[in-house]
Amino acid sequence: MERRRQALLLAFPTALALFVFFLVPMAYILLRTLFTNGTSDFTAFFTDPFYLDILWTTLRVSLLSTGISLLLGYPVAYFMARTRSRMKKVMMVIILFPFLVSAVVRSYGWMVILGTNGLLNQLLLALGLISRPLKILNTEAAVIIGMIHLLIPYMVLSLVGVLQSIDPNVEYAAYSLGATPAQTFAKVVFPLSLPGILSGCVLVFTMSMTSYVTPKLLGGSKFRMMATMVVQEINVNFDWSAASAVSYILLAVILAVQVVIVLLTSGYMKRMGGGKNG
Amino acid sequence: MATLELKGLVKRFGDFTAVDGMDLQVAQGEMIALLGGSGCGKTTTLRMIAGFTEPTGGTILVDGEDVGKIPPYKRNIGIFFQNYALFPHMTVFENVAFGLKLQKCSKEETARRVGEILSLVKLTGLDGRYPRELSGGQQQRVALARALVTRPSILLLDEPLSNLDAKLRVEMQVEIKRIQRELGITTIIVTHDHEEAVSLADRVIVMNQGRIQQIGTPQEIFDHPASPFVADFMGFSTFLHGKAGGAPRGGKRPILCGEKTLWVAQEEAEDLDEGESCLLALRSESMTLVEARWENAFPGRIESMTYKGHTTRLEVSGCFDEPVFPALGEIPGSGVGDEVLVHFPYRKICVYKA
Repeated sequence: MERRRQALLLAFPTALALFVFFLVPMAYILLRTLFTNGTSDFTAFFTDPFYLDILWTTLRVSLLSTGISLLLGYPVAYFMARTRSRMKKVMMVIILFPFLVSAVVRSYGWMVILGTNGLLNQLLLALGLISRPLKILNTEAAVIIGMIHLLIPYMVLSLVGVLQSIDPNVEYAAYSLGATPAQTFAKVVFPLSLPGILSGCVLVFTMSMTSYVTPKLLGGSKFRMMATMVVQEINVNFDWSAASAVSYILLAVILAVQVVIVLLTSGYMKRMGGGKNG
Repeated sequence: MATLELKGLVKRFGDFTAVDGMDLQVAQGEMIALLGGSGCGKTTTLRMIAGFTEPTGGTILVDGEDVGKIPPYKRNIGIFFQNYALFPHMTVFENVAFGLKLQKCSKEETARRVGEILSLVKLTGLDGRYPRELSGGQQQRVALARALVTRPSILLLDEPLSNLDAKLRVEMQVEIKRIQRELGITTIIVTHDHEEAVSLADRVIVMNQGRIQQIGTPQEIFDHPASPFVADFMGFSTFLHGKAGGAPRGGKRPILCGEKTLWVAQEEAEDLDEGESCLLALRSESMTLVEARWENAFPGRIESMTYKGHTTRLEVSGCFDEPVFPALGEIPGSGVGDEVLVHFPYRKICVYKA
């Protein structure tokens, strides 16, 4: 009991700071919007195809980025979890390295690669695979590419932790009972790694839903996602109320998707012992 | 059920040779123990038989057929892992039924066979539990049931009893032996515990540094280790250096240990030339304390006593240059510092060239 009281005491300053500097301003923004314009900003959002299209774009880009990150990240994470060679440390450094470079710098890097006269087009032209430069920069594809590059480390790190905790003998046991590598993956490794898949996906999905720099720099002037829309409402339209409505809708959508994921997998997680071991 | 043969099996990891030219034949229904310390190559051998690791050289024959190119999931070899390796997200029933479902057994057939094997390992009624809800002994029996239910041609057991407490260990020894006999399944058990090896196996293979040191029945290996290494591993406690004496007398050959003469069985020391140095080995339980000055009884002083429950282990110096370690069934009347006469029965002494 004494320890618990001490822990509470230690947590108190952070809790207080979060309350004062995060929850209070959040509530203030919402209340101000509701008191000045009522719910009209919210109803405007859901009746205007322009806004709904932005929401749909944001969801589409985020889901694709999350899905592709998972597909690309899983094999890397599996290799890192199972290898005993020195490659593991090298790969870990490579995966953590992008964290050292800001999203802005990385987006400019992608502009150099994906531009009309960029490295990628020059390479494809030189190889004779295309006759005219492809338009990649300032499209949704460029945003998704940049987003995956930005967020895949989070996916890999979430997966490595869980995959490492799976006893390799469990896989060998499946083999010895007649399961092919594909069956072993489907029936043993995949279900056991589901907690890591979930946390990785929630993390990547949330961060891409709220991303600003990547869509702004790689998507071009006509490409809009929710976060760029918030900035536009403030900086261009000077409509703080609409900006806060967009922010809250974004928050609600993210929460809703997470709740759906948790509900869909809660039965399974309960089988796994609610995340507890032993 | 199948026969197993290893021919010149070699496994290297970089510069390290884990298994160094292993030859072994296992008969149908036989139970073999691979016995050795950690890093002796016993587990690597097991993993090669199962197909998890590819041998660097040599062949593995099952029923006379080279299985080298057959992937593990087609070998039909049951394996029991030291840490059980149960599927944590499946119930006892699902764990055991895993292999049967892959073999496309019907629902009824699967249920019947899982029920049968669970009653064989005495786990009836626990089908719906998850591994984390079971005790160590129960988890172990699930692992055994899972390995047996698919009727593998060969069963591999990796340290099956090492995680259990003493009482459960004896129970499981009896269980494993009973089930193995009942199913007549060719079995290889890997262990570092010589008591486990001799109590379970028909034949024991002692390994060291990737090589076979001795193959024999438990009795042969327990009573007549082929080398001082095996003797040490099999729990021989007392080692004495000596030189072979002259001609044998009455079925006994004299060995000179310092100024003292110790008699050993003639057949143990037959290939020693006179004056050749040798090493004698004895088990603690073979030595006794005696009252009168018999042949092969020498005086010494008790240096320490360790009470071990059903025996008391002594360290006695002065009998020879080396200390000797008799273990006595009853607590002796004498204590530390007392003079005693230790008797070394000549039939119990193993002799090695040194």
